[in-house]
Amino acid sequence: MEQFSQLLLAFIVFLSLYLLGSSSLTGCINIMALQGMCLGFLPLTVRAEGFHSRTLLLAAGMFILKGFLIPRILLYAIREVKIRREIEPMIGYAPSLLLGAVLIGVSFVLAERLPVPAGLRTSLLIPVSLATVMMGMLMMISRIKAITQVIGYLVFENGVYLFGLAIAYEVPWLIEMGVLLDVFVAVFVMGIIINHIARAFDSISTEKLTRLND
Amino acid sequence: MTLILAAVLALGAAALLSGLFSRHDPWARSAVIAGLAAAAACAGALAERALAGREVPDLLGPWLLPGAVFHVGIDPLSACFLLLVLIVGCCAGLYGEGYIAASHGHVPSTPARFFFLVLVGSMALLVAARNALLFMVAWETMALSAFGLVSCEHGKPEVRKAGLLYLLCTHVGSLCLLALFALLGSNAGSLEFSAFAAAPPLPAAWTTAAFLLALVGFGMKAGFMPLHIWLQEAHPAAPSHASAAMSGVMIEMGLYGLLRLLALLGPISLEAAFFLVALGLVTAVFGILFAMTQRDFKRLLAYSSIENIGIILTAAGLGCYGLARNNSSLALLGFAAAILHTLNHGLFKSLLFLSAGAVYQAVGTRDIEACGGLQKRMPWTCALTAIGAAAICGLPPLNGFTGEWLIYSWLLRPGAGHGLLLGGLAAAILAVVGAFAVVTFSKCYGLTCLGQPRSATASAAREASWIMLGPMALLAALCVGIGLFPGPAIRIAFTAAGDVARAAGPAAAASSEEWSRLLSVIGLLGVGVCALSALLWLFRKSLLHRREVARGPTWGCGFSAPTARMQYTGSSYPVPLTRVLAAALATREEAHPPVGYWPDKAAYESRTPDPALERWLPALTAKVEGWISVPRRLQYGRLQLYLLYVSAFLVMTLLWKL
Repeated sequence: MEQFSQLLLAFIVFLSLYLLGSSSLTGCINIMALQGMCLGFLPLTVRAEGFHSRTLLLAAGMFILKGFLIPRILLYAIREVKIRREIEPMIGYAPSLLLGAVLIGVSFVLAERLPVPAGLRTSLLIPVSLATVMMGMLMMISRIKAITQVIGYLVFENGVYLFGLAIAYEVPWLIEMGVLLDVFVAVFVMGIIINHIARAFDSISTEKLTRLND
Repeated sequence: MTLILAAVLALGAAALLSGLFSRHDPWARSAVIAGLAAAAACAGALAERALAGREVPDLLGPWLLPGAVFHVGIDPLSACFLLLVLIVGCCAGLYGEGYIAASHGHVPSTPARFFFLVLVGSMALLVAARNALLFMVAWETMALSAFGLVSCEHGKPEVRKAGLLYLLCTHVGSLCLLALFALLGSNAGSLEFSAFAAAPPLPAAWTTAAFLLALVGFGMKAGFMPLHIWLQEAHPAAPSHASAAMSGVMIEMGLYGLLRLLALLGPISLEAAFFLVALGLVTAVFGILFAMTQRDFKRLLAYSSIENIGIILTAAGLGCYGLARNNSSLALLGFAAAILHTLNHGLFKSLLFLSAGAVYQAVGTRDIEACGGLQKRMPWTCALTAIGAAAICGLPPLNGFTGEWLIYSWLLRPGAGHGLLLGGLAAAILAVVGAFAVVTFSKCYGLTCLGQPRSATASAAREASWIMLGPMALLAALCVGIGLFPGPAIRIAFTAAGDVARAAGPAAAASSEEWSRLLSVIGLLGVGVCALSALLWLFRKSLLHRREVARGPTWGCGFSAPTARMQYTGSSYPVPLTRVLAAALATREEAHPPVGYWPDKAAYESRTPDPALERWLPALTAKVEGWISVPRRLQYGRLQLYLLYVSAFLVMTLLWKL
């Protein structure tokens, strides 16, 4: 079980890196869906002492929401505004891949120094969660289209979820539900906003929003 | 002590009710009047008890905010200002009902009522607050409700501008006060006022910082000389009953703050006391000079408020001098003069603002040069204006004289150990200010009330309603009453000053006895003068009895076809003074004199802009804009960049802390 969870974590980091290097928006959303599914599996592998019905329910909720529902909303959004590709990222794909690698390194260093419970020190959970948070951030910073920013935000959120999984021995039910609801609403709102941006500016590029400064 | 809570709650409830009944004018009106009456009854009883020297236990209650205790208490200093708040608040509130009705919808009734009641309630709470956080909450409520009043008629662009300027100024002041209380609180380890008093003194550098912060924070509200910039813009913009409450009471809350701090923290240094006196004198001279040149009568009154604040500050500085010299009788006299003049100023300035409002509603303009001849059309308003104008000039049988008399007697007291030269100089400056005040108010009263009407609306003006005249008459009666029988007012002022000057009760009582005896003699002399003139008038009447008296037109001057335009104008009346003081005033003139034998056009225009607002402030803001343009480069309005800032900051803190 332990090894399976490490494998899943490695896969999650790999997916985040893949996201950084991918230019097709549909591809991005699919990768994100895959990552969400991995996250849904993860709670089942982390806890050694067997399955509670609650854990199962959470895993199922995560699986459905992040694996299916949110990707469907995003796919619907890009079909509505008719875009396929992130054309001009502010940081190119290769440099962002390199940066992603650097960030993974930084997160390992940080995780080393972070005061965490002794049992977690050897686990990949902390560095992977930090790396995912940072790569989500990087994605939000380096991309221009609003939709890729939403994807970045979701990746960031996945990282936060991972961190919560690592820190809280038994994540309280309410907090989990809160996080899920939060993400769902955020994506929902962003989907609507993207549509509105597209309608108002004939583009979903957030660059147009600089007009609103001052 | 629950009485003060009852008063504040009554005002708050009345404010809410007046808002709820915005559609039913009579209901809202009765809510306002009932709230004011209830508050006056509660707080008046409380103030009476505190001033009579009876111990009133403080009221402490828990509060959710960290570090805050809901602590209200009352001592003579608080009670004195509480009385002022209530008298002026009730008179102005009652008058406001008539004013709103007379404006025929020009003054939006709902915000005017609501914010007015909130203003009065917050000031009542402010003077009773014994915890720095409660004080700040009351202070901010007061400041914001005043903003609501200033921008009541926000349809006019100049009103919006004045409101914004006021809001900016008051926030600067509040920021300074926050810093001040943080400083004092960190020194005392608590935000209770009693802890401030018990704390060890601050180190020298911090004392200076605290002094400056208090001066800017409270001075911004009170309107000390370079900080007065909002005053002359905001007071004309607000409805008149609101300007009466703001000018009569709210700006004096700045002085209350200063006095309260002095009472808590003890004497300041001799240099600081001299600085306060000098600042007060500069403010007084500046205020009256600019009041003299104004054409808008509410603006004139606002400048005159600056002048009076200057006089009060001078007196407070003299009190500080006494404290620093460890001479408690001098300190007592100085602070009592400051408090007495504060009370008096509250009364006559609100009276003048109320009568200005009555004239404004009757004539429809605030321009002095469109008024004239109102004495025949609005005899009651003009008579009450005359009383207020005489009181503000400090003429003997009225209350303005009593406070100024105390200041002069401080300054000219032989053997006070401060050098007669300085005292004489200050007295001379104050005398000049008094003389200018006579010029200013004879201009204001004479040009609006006497002479011939200068415009059609002025000749069609009608007397104000009784609901407006009643409160004005009450204020005027108080002005006359304090002038004739200064005993009670002087006792109140000396009892309150005893708190600040740290003088024992008997000492305060003894000196109040001494001064009130002297002043009542002067009051009686004033009555004698009045009685003599009345006798002379009666004598003249009896001489003219059964004789034919020809009445010519006012300002006829023997012209065959006099017109109203031949009268003095607001700018020409003080010309002998303004010419002399041209350098200080920097009046901008634009003259196109008549040319040739048959001139067709001639024009003359003069304007005296406020130097602090129109010359110094732009220079300062240009400087500040230069400084802040450097960090402004970080702002692109691009979302990605902001995210980068946030994440860079986070990663940096993580790396630094771990």
